Amino acid sequence: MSAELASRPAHQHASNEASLLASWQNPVRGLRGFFSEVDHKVLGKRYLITALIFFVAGGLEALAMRLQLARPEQTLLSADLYDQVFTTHGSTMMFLFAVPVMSGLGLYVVPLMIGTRNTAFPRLAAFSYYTYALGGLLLYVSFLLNMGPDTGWFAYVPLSGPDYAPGKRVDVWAQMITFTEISALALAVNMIVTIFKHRAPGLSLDRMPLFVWAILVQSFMIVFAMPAVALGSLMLAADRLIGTHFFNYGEGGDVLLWQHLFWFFGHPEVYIIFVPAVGMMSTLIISATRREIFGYPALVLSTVATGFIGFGVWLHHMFATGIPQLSSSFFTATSVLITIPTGTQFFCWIASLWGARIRFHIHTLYILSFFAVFMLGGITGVMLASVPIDLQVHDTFFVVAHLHYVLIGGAVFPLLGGVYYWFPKFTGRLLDERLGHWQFWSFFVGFNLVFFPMHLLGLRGMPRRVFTYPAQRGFESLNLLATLGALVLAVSVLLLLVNLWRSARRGRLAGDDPWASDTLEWGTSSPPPPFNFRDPPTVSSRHPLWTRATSEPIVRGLRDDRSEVLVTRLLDAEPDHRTELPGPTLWPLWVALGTGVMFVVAIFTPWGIVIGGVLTGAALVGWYWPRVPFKEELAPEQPRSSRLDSAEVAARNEARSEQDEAAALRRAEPEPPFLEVGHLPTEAFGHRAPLWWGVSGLMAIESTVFALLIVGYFYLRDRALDWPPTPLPARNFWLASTAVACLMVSCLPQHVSTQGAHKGSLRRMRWGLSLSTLLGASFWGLRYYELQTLPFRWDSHAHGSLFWFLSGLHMSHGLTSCVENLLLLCVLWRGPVEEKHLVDVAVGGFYWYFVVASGVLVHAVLYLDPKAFPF
Amino acid sequence: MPTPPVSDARTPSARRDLWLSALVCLGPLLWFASLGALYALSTHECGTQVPTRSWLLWSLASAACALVTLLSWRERRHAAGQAPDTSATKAKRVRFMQEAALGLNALCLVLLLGFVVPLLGLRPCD
Repeated sequence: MSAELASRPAHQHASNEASLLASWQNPVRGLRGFFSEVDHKVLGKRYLITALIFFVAGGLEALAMRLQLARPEQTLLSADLYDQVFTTHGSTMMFLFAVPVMSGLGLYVVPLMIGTRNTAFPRLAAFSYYTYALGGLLLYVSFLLNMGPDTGWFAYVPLSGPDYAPGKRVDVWAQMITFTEISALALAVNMIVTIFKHRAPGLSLDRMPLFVWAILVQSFMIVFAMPAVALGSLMLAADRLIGTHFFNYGEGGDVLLWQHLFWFFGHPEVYIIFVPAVGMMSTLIISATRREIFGYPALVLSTVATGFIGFGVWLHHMFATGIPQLSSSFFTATSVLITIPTGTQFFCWIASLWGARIRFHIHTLYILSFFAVFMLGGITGVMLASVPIDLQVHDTFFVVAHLHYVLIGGAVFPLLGGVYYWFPKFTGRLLDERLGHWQFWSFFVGFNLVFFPMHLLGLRGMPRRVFTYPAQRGFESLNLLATLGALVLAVSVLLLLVNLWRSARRGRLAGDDPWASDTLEWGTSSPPPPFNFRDPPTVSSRHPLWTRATSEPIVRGLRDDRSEVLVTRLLDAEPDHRTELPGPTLWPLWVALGTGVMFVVAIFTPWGIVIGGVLTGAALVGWYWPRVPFKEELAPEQPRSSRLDSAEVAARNEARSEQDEAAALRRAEPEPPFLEVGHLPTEAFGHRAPLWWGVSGLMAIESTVFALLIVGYFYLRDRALDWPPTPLPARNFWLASTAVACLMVSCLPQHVSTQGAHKGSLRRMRWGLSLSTLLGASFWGLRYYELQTLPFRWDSHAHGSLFWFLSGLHMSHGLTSCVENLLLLCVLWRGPVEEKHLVDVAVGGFYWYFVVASGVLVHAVLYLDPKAFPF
Repeated sequence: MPTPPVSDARTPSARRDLWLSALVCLGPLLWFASLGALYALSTHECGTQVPTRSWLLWSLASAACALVTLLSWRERRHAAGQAPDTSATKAKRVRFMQEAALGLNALCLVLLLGFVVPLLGLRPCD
């Protein structure tokens, strides 16, 4: 490790818990305190509770469907209501439960597991949560107003297009999807940067807990998969609301483009849900066997391989669309071969359990049942990867059975095990074992009763997505059995809720580490304090709590009076620099609300984009605007104001005196060695800065969006008879070329400003940013004028739609970069300029180059494509 | 005006780490690019019913992936002698990444070789 390893008298360095508490705890109470919270644990719990609420709602919808299908010709639900219910059920479980619950658990556990005090971007985590909650609220409010989407969670066009689905139901669905995907993307980038840059010293890549690996792989998958569905749903909304033709066959669009976009997200989505469960399995197995897991490198490799290969199987959802067999067969091969990493994981887990003295807790039961249940889902998955079998059982209940065995078996079983395992960490109390046994067995039996008969129903030919079926077709008894199973499953979920509620209040006290586990989250109190660790740990093995010697150094030198954390290097987690994390604020809520206004109002009028855009932009400016930190702003008011009442002040004083006594006791004990990081710088440039990684994540998302749009452009171009239907005028080519030239030239002043940031030259930064902003604004003005003079609009034909969409998307990036530069200029003129602003300028320059590069690419696609070249 | 923060000058080991990280991703990226290209090509070759371009692409991708796998293997084999000054912790991490690169690239090579079955058995527009 590069930081200084030393041993000094304790009184100079002992972390002061009272001051840590003052730095990390939200000082504000009430509603404002609730909405300004940025602690990862609080937000993680909110994610989990919200996801649980959606899980119950989705479960009730499933129960309603099963009651409807219990007997033939039932009239409990009308056809229309059934369509709304099954669409809302699918959308809820996929978008509002499965992904958020995994991400929420990661948000709570990962920072603790890697030994840090919060996520890299705490305010972004708050924004993610509010966006997610608002997206879910939008879906359910519309459902209760009889405006619930009714075209399935996949919303195939043309069924969901403007011709076959009039009204606002599909618009609500499309906007909800974009909304929740923004949330997932923001959280994924946050988790990647946290794992990359905030690991405890010594926690190198080969020592990272397998759950952390799983969340890392999941986050990368989200970054590259979710832009596809967000883009698709935006295009669908545009087709419906402003008359574009992306999916309109008559005007050069293609309905299969939707399926490609949707399933390019949809299949990785399965792994986005499954991969964290894999991490949980490994964690729980280590805890149950109390020994090292078999084949750690193989398990990591398999998780990463699953992440990669998951992107190469999307076409197996489209086997029935008439795609040539050779094309399909490549995807069959990949779908079959993805069993290699999954099989490797299975064998590693079995080898880990083999011969071990297994401790049987409730979560152990979930581990063992996972093997049986997920195995069945995996086997039917391999069957469905074969084109002939897929064509036979396509759109039957066999597929419903398969996907539930994979998703519930592969994700919900480990998740419930994870809930039993980490519940003591959340609450400090154990879940009731007796109730847990009842809950587990009813869940296991109920699940198999519901879904196993569906295999047989599918093989007998019962189609899925039907609200009823005629009698005398051989479907009755199996359907009735499945409905009885659904009732058992409902009882099980009820038992789980009761157990959670009761145990959180009156459960047996767990102590700090009830399972004698090996990972760092159990190395602090349960539940953890707002600052997670009084003394941030260092790590020297894969099982830090098992191998921790008394001589294990702790991190010293971080400021207690500020929310400061250590930033480490990516591969070896060597200490690199310190950074201060932002404190509680309401801005993430305002930004989420602004975005909400944009998406909701846009359902009714395109002006919603403008109104919401302005609101969001204003809130973002407020978010970024340099000001006195929240807590320092409040500090002088505290004695006079009612924000901290006298009882609380007394409690804090009492706690402080207890802590002082504890510190005095500690002074008497021999001092452990520590890793001094106080001499490290407080900011760093380039890839050493977390912000650089955050912006890189943003660029990865946007690159995926641009790449998908460009692939979509060539996909439609290859299928169109005349492309472009309206020729591009030469004058527009020259206008656009001049605009792009302006953008390219702007790189020079931007480079000057970046160099100025590195050298600390205020003058260079001001001049560089001013000139590049001016050139950026010229680009924007020229392109705006060029678009106004085009002989076609977005609603003329598919080429027009793509032309305007690509141009508009890039122009919005240009505008954002200009606004960002203006903000930085404000800071540079107004002051005070801090070191972090220099990093902002450098990272802003990095993003500017991305905007320039994407502008050149977009120009090349739109104007230099031989079919569209205007000369 | 504050003093400039620390610079981000790269050390030789950072360059080596970059190469190792690239090696981990090369095989999967090659496989994914060839999968997308083979999918697009097979539709285009409907007219001729002879998948010449698909075969060519497959051969190139497989050869490139084999090369990357070979490089990963060499990297792992020569690991011990290359950086004698590295700490034990770093050496273990480097070895871990070398194993990951070898494993992932070999798996992608298997995936690519698996494509030979449909190429041999099917015509583009069957």
